[in-house]
Amino acid sequence: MESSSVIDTKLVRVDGASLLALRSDSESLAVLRGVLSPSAVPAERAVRSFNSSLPPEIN
Amino acid sequence: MSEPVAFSQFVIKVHSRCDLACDICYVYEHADQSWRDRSAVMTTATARRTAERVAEHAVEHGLGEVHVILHGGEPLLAGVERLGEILGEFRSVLAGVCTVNLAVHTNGTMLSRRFCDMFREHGAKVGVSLDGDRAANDQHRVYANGRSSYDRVVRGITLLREEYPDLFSGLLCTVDLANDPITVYEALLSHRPPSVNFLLQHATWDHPPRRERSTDYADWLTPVFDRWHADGRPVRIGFFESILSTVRGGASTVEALGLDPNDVVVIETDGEIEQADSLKTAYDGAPATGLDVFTHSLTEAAAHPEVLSRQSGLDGLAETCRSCPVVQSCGGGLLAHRFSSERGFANPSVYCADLKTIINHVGATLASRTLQLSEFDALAAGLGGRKAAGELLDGQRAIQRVLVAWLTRSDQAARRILDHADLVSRESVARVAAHPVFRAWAVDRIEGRDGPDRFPAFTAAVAVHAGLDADLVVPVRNGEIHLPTIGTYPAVAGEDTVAVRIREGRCELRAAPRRRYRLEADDGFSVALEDGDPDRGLPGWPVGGALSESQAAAWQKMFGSAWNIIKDRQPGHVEGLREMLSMVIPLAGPTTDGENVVTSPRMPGAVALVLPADPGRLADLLVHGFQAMKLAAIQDLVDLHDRSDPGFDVRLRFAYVALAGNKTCPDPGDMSTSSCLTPLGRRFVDGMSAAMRSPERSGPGE
Repeated sequence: MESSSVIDTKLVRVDGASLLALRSDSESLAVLRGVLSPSAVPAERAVRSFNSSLPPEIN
Repeated sequence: MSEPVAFSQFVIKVHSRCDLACDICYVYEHADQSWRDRSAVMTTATARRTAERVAEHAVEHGLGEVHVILHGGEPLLAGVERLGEILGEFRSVLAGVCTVNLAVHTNGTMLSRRFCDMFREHGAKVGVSLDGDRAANDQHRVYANGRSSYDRVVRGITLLREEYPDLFSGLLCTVDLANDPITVYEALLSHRPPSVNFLLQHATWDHPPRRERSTDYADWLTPVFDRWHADGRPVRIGFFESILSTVRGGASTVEALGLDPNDVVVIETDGEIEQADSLKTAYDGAPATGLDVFTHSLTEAAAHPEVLSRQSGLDGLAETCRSCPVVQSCGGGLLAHRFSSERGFANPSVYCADLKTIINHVGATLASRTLQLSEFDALAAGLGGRKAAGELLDGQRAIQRVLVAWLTRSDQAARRILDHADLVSRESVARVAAHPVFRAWAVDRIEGRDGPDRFPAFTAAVAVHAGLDADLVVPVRNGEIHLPTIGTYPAVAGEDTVAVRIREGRCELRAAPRRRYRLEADDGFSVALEDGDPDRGLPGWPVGGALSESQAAAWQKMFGSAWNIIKDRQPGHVEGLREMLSMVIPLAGPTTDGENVVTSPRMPGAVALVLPADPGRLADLLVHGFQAMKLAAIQDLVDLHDRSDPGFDVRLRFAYVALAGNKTCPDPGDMSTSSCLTPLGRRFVDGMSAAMRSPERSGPGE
């Protein structure tokens, strides 16, 4: 910490992301972890299922 | 050897032939030639047995949800009736066992209303392969006679998008260096798919991809990522989203990235159980397990030595991969891409240099939000000027934006309006989300606490600012509806809701809004005097009713004087207050805790207070409230302490407010030995202590 002039905060940069992008990715999860109670933040696995609208890498 | 991992994605090969003759297809053109001996089409009996095996697997492993993807070859060659029967088997056998997400992946050439009606009947999503514009697509995706498939595919995609948007799951594009990346990106997005994914052509060390340099594929993907990011990521792209996720320690959503064990299993047309399809590119017979659904369970397949050996995460990777800094993201790349006949799968990916380059690029593009250490120290000393306040506000805005996004996950009507507003006027979303009351009800709603539905009113306000058309039904509260940042409108007596019609941003309500007040200082600084929002009071805050004009005038008179006092006596807080204070909430009396001024991390930007008797006192209350607000915003950015000492946060807040100059408190230095402090927290407390002892600190007032 002493050697750096900046601090990495708990939040990640979401500025460039559309609402659509933020709905699903784990960046937004990282933000919500500091805001919601822990039990209210979905597990990564649940997010993965939510994301699985496309088949796996086939074809 | 790792423990068996339950499968959750089941790729069902319903037809083993294809109407196209793509020269890059791993099913027909690569090492494995098992398709030649397969049944052309899966029978309904085989489908039923497969569904029974999936159900059995779900029960054995307690799976709440499975994904079943019909695939080929070209699955639509099975015909409407057979596909309908197969989907019906999965629906009926798995009913009551677990949630089943059905999907079909097709080349799109045969899509028709008959197919789509049947897919809709069974709730099956449809993904389509498309490699870009006509020129890109026709590089490889052609019929056996060389004829283009493009027009037919686009016709199928258009049908999906226009008439069956609920079925359209997205586009899958195989990267070809011969195509221009931005042209491909734009061509794909022109079809307005809900998602896009990019695949690297399957290749091995024995048969590496055609390229001139080891990072040619990264060089192709990088401008696509940059454009997608610059566009605000307007469509989901699994490959990039997975890098974004994994560089931050999250999960990958695509098989080609991440260290999560592969949970995909393939059932061939004849019921044989196989490993990931991409292995067909490695060597003849590579995906085979020797098992089939008629005599073996899927749990037996999960325990198959070949399957297990390829699910061992980091331990299963080559030595160079295990020590690589990006291994959490690439996961060694797709298993098939690691193969060489000399060393089997104990190699980095043949796309290693590409993966490393694009992962590093994405990671560098999206760094964590940072805070200058000098600003942090200034905040610790109790002050912090415009820049520090701006950094805190940026953090607040990020939280607000994510909360909006997550609210839209469960409200399709609002999602449609807000996504549109986000495209045409991102500021409109930010403006309403910055309303201090937003965070309080948004968190309640996301956490599932009961309460009035504020989302329609929020969405209506965004639509107004964005200049959109929207029709929303807003619940009546206390005989009124309140559109945050817009105003409070009386409702017709006895009505529970008001239909709010917005046209080109104009709110067409019969009743006029009641008067809104702002507190204005001589120098132009102003804040809202909020007496209309029904949720402006948290538990224990006696917010009272609407202000009369004379009450509002009293607030105005007092505020103008108080602001001048702050500028005179506490100039170090002026810039921060200008940035961060946006709302004053009048209290009818002290809170249940006896406080005359109160703030909440749930209402950033707002200070609720009792109107004091003189402006000097109001100046103090505003600065005290501002200090507490600032500390909450700091703690949104960094952890100052863990939660092992429940009373520590109250002591910290009291000491920080005291730093504003008009309160005395025990030396914060006494807190610096607490074991609950993080290293940054200790620095913060030490900074507070030094400031408290500073001779320059203004002495206690009144």
